[in-house]
Amino acid sequence: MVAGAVAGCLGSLLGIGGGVFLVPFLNIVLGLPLNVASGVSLMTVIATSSVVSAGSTGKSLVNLRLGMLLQVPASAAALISGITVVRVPVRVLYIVFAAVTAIIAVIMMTRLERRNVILDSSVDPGRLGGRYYEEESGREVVYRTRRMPAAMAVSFAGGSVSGLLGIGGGILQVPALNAWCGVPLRAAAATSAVMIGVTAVASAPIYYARGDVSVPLAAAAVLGVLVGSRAGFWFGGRARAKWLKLLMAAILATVSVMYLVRAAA
Amino acid sequence: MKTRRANALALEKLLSTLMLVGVTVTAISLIAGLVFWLVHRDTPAGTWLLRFGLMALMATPILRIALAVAESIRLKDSFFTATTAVVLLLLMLTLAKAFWLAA
Repeated sequence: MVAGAVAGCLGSLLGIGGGVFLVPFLNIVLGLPLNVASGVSLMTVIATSSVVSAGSTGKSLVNLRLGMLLQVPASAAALISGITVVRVPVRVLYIVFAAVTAIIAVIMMTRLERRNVILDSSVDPGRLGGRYYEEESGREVVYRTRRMPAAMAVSFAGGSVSGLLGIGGGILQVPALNAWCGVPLRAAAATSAVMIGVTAVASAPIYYARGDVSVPLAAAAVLGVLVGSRAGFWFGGRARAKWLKLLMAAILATVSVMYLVRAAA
Repeated sequence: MKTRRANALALEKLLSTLMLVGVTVTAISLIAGLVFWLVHRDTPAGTWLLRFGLMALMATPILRIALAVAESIRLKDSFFTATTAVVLLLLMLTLAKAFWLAA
């Protein structure tokens, strides 16, 4: 239980919306079954998302219209995978987890930030674009979205990962929205932070009804997230020390290898 | 254009207030529940509070979507109404499956 609280705290301090560290911690270090680790993790993802959404008001960074469109494939995938996860052999889940952590480790090492903004605030952002006040340049900026099918596909993948493994999926979605779809990093991070909670809740009640959510452990982990997030985290929004990124990528690579070994065993 | 933006900001504020309330209710019931649970293990009150806290946690994003549907209808934003309604429908399917499993 204490471990749950510590893991929750650490997860949000490191700026990862729960999940990708919490699941292997509960599963490998504490030896809980993967379905229980995922169930507990989903609860912390909801907590992270709610806290961030409550705190991000007034800056217009959250693009609700874009977020709700992407939420359709994400929720559908989370619902389907939440129902079917019991039929998926655990070995397959290990392989998926290994693949996802490897991808995230690579993303962490190579993350490029595209600014994607139009400084002329009179430009029409279109149906799904947005505008917000950018602190660095001290003016209102506009962005437009593009390649929406790619964004929808990534959201579907994120929802599947969320429903199968209990990790948020934001870490996959934010770089994709930023690199491919024309969304500035901060807007992508804020929008994704709102989305991951809704995606998580599209499978969390199913995990809960199956008894895969250890109630005291989930409570401790959620409180850990609430405390940890108070201490200030912002995924992608702020510059991170390079060594911290390196450390996280190294941990993820290790986790990836451990899951591959487990799948092979 | 300007009004759409003002509406979006007002909605954002309303939704974030809801999230704040949800998080606060969750935190209070989980803290109280954990204290109960640690003092007397397996008392019904402690378990009930913990379960209630997790329910409140899960209910918050669902209520957020429901509120977004209501607001989008009020604003006559058909695109936003369509997406939020589909998301709400999917969440209702999730709840139906969960109740079916629990029963």
